[in-house]
Amino acid sequence: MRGQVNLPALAVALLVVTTTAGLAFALADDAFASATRDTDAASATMLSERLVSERSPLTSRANVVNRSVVADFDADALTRSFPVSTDAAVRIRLDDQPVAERGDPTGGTTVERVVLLERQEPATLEPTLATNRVTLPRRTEAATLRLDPPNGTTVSTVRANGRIVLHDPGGLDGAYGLDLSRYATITLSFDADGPLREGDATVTYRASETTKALLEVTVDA
Amino acid sequence: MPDRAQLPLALVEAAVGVVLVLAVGTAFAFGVPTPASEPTQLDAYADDAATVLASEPPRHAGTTRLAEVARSEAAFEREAAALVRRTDRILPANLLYRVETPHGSVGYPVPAGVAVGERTVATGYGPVTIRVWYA
Repeated sequence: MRGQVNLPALAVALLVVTTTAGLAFALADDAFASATRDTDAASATMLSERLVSERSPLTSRANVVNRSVVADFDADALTRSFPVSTDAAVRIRLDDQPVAERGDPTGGTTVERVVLLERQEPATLEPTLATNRVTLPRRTEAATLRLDPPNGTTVSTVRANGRIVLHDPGGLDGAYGLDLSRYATITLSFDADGPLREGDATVTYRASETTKALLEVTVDA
Repeated sequence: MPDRAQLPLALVEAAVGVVLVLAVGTAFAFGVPTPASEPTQLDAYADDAATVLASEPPRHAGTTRLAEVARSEAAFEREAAALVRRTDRILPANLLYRVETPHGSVGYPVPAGVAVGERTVATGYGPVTIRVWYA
């Protein structure tokens, strides 16, 4: 008698286990399907991250966007520099002005980044050289020094904050490029065997002016 | 007969199997909570503010603006107001912020229970932490 009762019980047991397994597979499938749906946010975040990084074609250093470069930037340049985003519609706006747009993103995810817009203009300084020293009023990474000492006077060494940047025992004369640091205020001092006057040295450096802007990156795959 | 009252063994096994399969299934049903997009955007704001402040020249002496406020008590007292103005200026208007330095903090108190974006910058005089959240 007991042997016959077990047969329908086995059928019911198989049915229950199969149904449950099917349900679990459906759940797992749903979970995987919804997990792959969030690529827009990821690519928008990543693209914005790369756009503002210091290696980006738009920036001169991290989060500082060069105004003239951004004017030339377009969809082609975007594809060239960031090929990872080719199959998605992308829109980049800077302070509500379109910078580059490929495709027509209708929804998607938008990431905002705070950047500084930089405009660089050359500034020229003609120090009076009363003490053979001059302090640059702005910090800069590079400067051009033009030396034109009077006849009979030899400028042998130029130091930036004590560090020797130019040296020629025979006398420095002409234009020289200086590598400076953006993290220190630079004082140039001149070692000369005679008095220097105003106009004997001219420093040209790039003065940058920055304004704040919002960079919006929209990605719609 | 005590035998008759017993559940068929197959059904007991099936019940155990169902429990096991459902245990795995619930992991998919509830899943790992995915981070919402808000903290990501807030982190981006905090990152940007920190990067901008950390690479800006100081108002008086030092290497950068953040290094200047972290430098000493006196420097912090002197620069706190300017730091508030500058941070206000950099961040979008819908954000509030707090900047913590080794010598004190400026900005607003961080409220409990809101999403906060955070970024810490190491300066030569100690860490400076910037927190931002939606007003």
